[in-house]
Amino acid sequence: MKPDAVILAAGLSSRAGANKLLFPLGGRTVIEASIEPFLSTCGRIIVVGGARFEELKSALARLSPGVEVVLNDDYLYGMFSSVKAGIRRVGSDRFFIHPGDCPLVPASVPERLLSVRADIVLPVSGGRTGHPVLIDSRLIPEILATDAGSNLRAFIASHGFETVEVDSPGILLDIDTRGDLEKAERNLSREQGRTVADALARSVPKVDNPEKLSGRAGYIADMPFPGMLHAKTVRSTRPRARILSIRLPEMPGGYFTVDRNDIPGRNRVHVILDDQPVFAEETVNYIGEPIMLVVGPSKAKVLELASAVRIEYGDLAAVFTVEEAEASGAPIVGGENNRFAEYRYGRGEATRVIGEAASGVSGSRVFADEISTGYQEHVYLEPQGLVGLYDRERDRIEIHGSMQCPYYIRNALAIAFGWEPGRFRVVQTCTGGGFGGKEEYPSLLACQAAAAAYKTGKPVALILDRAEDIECTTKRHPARIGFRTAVDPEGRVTAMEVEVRLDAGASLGLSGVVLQRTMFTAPGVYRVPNLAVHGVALATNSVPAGAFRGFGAPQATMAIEIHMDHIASSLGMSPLEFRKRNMARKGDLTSTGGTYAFDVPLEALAERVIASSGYRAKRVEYASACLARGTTAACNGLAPLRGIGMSFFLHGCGFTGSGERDHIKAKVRLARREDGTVDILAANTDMGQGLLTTFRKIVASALGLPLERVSFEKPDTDRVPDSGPTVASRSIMIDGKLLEDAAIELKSRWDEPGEIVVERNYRHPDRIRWDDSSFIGDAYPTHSWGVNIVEVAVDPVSFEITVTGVWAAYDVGHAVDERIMRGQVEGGILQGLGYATIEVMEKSGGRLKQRTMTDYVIPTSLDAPPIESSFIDNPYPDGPMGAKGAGELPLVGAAPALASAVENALQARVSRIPLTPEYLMKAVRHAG
Amino acid sequence: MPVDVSFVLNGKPVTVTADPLERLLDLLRVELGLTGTKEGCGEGECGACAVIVDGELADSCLVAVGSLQGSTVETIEGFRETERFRVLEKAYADAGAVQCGFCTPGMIMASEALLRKNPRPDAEAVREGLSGNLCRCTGYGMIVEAVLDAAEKGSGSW
Ligand code: FES
Ligand code: FES
Repeated sequence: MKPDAVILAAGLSSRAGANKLLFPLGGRTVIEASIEPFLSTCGRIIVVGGARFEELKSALARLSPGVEVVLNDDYLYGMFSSVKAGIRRVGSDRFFIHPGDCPLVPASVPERLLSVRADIVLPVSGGRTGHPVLIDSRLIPEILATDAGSNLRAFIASHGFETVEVDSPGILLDIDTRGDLEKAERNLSREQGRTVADALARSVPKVDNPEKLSGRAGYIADMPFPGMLHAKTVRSTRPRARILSIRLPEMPGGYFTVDRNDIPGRNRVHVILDDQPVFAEETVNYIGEPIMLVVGPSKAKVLELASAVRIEYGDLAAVFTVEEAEASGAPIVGGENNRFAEYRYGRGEATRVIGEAASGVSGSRVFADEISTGYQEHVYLEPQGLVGLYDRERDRIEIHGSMQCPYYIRNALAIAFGWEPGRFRVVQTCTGGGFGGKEEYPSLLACQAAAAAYKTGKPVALILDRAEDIECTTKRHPARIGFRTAVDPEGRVTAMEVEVRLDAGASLGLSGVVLQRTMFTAPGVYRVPNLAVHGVALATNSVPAGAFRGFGAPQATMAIEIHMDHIASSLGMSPLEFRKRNMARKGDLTSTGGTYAFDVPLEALAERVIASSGYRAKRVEYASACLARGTTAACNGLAPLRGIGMSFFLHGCGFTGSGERDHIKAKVRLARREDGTVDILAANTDMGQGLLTTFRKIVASALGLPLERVSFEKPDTDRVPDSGPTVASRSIMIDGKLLEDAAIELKSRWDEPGEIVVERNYRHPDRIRWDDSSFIGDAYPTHSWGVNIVEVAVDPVSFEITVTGVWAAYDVGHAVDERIMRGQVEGGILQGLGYATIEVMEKSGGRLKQRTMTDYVIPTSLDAPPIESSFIDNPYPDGPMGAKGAGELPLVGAAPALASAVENALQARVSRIPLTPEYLMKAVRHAG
Repeated sequence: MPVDVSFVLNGKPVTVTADPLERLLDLLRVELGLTGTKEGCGEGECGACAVIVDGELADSCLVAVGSLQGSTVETIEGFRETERFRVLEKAYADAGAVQCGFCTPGMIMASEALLRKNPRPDAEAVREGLSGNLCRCTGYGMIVEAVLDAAEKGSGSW
C-alpha cells in the first residue's frame, strides 16, 4: 500500500510579503516543487490550505487529479491544527507530513525513509533533522488527542524516532523570505547540474549599495566646488505674453543675471528641432518658462534678488487645451496650425470594413471609445540639478550633475555655444532617479548653467527646488485616444481606426517621437488585419511634455486594453476569451506590418497569473456581488466592492526603426589594463536601475572573470565614447550586447601583452527592415511581453481605490539579474498604479493646479500592494545573456489592469485615468 | 539674530551659532558638511531628510535649529558607525532595496527609528513605520522585506 502525504500549506506568509508558496522556482511554484518528490511514491497527496485558499487551489489545479486540496478553517490556530486536519483524511498505513514551503527535497528521500520500519522516521543531513517525517498511522488517534497548544515536533520528540542519513541539505531549507528563495534557486540550479558561476549569475549585490546605504554617494547637491555660485531661475508667470520690460533690483557686487544675451551661439536647446529657447526671447509661451538666472555667492541673497525682478508683460491670446489648439481661428503657438507633428500609418481598408460592419450586412459590429489619460510627473526623489564650470586656461566648459544622457547634453552645448563638441566635458554624478525626466530636460539646464559659468568664470550650481521641478520640467503627455473597431460574429477584430491626440505643450521637444510610439502601440498585442492610425501632437501654452518611462506606450496601452474590455462586455464575452481570440502569435504582423519574429508567450504568461490570482472565479464572483447590491451600492456602511482585471501588453524594445543605425550609432569600449582588470567605457548612466552592476555582470560573465575585476565608472564624456542615451529600454539590449561582443573578442586576445582596447560599433541586424516615411516594417528590433492582473477594493461611499493584489508575469528575454529585475518590476508597477489613481495633475488657464508634493501625491508604503511577479526565460538571440528591454515594460501594463478591476468592481465603464473618486462617482451614476 | 544652540549630534556635544529659524537640514548639509541627509522636497513630504531627534524620526527640513537646545540628533553619518547599521545595510543589500539611493539614508533612519520602538514588527507595522518616507524607484516591497529581515537577523540588537 502506497503511503499518503500530507502537505501543510495553510500558514500566512506575511514574512515574505506575498504568497510564498506561489513564488516561481525552477519553472514551477514553491508548493508544486514541494509536492513533487511525493508524486511517484505516494498514493494520495493531501494539501491542507488555509490562508489564500482559492489561490492555492487554482495554482494546484494543474497537478490534479491525485492532489486533494482541503481547507483547514482553523489555520489561524497554528500549524498543528493543519496537521490534524490533514491526518484525519489519511487512509494508508503510513503517511508523510511535509511543509509546502520546503521545495528542495529529492524524490529519493521519501523512498529512503520508507525503507526503515519504525513508528516515526526523520531524515538527517549534516547532523540536523529535516523534512519530511514518516509516521505510522496507528499514531493518528494519539496525535489528534494531543493538546492544540502543542506541536508536532514536541509530539515526535516525546514519542521517539528513528533517523536516516540522506546527504541532501535541501531537507533543511524552507522558504521564509525572498533570500531563502534565492538560496533555493541556487541550490536547485546546482542540483540541475548548472555550474556555480551560472547559478550565482542570477543575482549579485549591487555594486553601489555601500556608498548609497551609508550616505556617502555623491549626488550633485552634495558636491563642493571651490568658489561655487548659486543660481535661481526667473520664470514667466504668464501662459503667453510679450515681455515688455524687465526691471532688475540693484545687484550687489558679485551678483549677476544671465539671459539670452549671454548665450554665445544659438539660443536654442537641441533636442530634435532646436525649437525651445534656452532663455525666453521676446515672448513667453508657458508659465514657468525660464527668462533669466540670478547668480551669486549667497543662496539666500540670490533667492531674494530673483524674487525682486519685475517683468512687465503684454498678454497674448493663448491656447490651453488640445480642443482649443485644433479649433479654427486658434492663435498659433507652434508647429503648423498648432500641429507639432502629425502622422498616419496602416494597412488594408479599415474605413471600408468598418463602414460595412456599421451597416450590419456581415453580422459584424462596430465599437467606439474615446479614452483619455492625464499628466504624470516623474517625482524622481532627487530634483534636477547641474553644476557648470568654465576652465579658463583650457577654454573649456564642464557640466557635472544628475542626468541620463551625457552626450545629449554635450551636443546641446555645442549648438548653444557654437563651439566644437570636444570643448565640453559632461560628467554624470550619482543620479537619484530619472524615469525619462532626466533625458532631455538637463540639456536645457546645462546650457543655462554653462552660460552662467562662462560669464562669471566660477562654478555655478543650478539646482531646482521641488516646486520648480514639478511646475517647470517635462511630464508625461496627456492623451486622448479614439477607436472605431469592427468585430465579426466570431468575435474577431477585423478592422480598427485609431485617432491619437497628445498635448505636447509649448515646444516640440521629443513629442513627435513619443507620438510615434503611442501610435505604434495603439493596437496593443492584437492582430488587426485592417488598420488606420492617425495621430497629432498639439501645441498648447503649457509646460512642454516629454520623455517618461514608457514614452507614449502607457497611454496607448491603457486605451486599447480598456477598449478591448468594453468590446468584450458588449459582446457578452469574457475579457480573457476575447483577448485570446485576437492576440498575435509568432509570425503574425506587428502593428506596422513587421513580423513578430520571436515567440509571443502571452498564453503562457496569462496562464501563470490566472492560476495564481484565481482570476476566473473572482471576476465572476465580484461582478455578481456588485450587481446583487444593485442600486443600494452607494449606501453607507457597506463593505468595499471587490474587483479584478487584467491587461495584456508589449513594449517595443529600443529605438524606433532605424534609429540605432541612422542616428545613435552607438560605440562602446573595453580596456584590459596591465594588472588584468577590465574597464568598461560606455556613456550609459545608472540612475537607480542598476546598470553599474548589470554591465559589469555582462562583461564579467563573458570573460569568465569575477565581478571585482571589471570596473564601470559613471560616464565622463572625456573618457567614454558616445554609446547613445540611457532611454527606451535600450542600454542592456543594445550597448550591453556590444559589450558582450567586445568581451568575447577580448577573451580571445587575452594572452596579448600590455593594455588591450576593444571597440565595438552598433551593427544593424539584417532582419530589421523599416521605412521611416511610410512607417512600414519592424518598428522595433523585438518586443518584451507582459500580463498583469490587479485586484482592487473600492469603497462604495468614498470611491477610494485600494489595490489588494498584483500578479504579474513577463518575458524580458533572460533577466541579466533577477533581483534587479524584480526591483524594476515592483517600482514600475507602483508608478503605473499611481498613474491610474492618485497621481492627479490638472491645469487651468495654462497653470498646473498641483505644484508641490503635498498636492501631487505619489504612492507611499501603505499604498503599495503585495506584488507577485515572475518571468519566463525566453533568451533573445540579439541581447546580452539573452536579455531584451525591461525597464519600461512594468509600468505599461499596470494602469489598464487596474482600470479593468475597477470596472469589474463597480460594473460601470470608465474611459479615463486617473480614476479619481469624483470621476468614479459619475461613472457609477451613469451606469446606474 | 543668530543664537547659540547646544545639542548632541551623533553622540558628540556641539554648539552652533545660527539663525534660530534656520532649517536643521541646512545646518547639517551646508554648515556641517553632513550631506548624507538629502533634500527631496523641503516641505515635509518625502522623508529624504529624515534624522532622529530625541529618539523620534523627524524631517530635518521642518526642524528649526532654535528648537534643538539640549536635544539629541542622530544622522546617517553617526548611525553608519553602529552594529545595527551593519545589520540593516546587509538586509537592504540582500533584499535589493536600493535603487537610485536618494531615499535610502532617510529610509535607513526611519527603519532604525521603527526598530527601536518595535524590534519585531510585522509587515504592516513596517509599512506604517516607513510611510513618511517616499521611494519612487522600488515600490517599497523589497524595503519592507529588508526591515523584516534585519529585525530577524539582528534580533537582540534593538
Ligand atoms: S526634504 Fe524634508 S521631507 Fe522632503
Ligand atoms: S531608491 Fe530611488 S527613491 Fe528610493
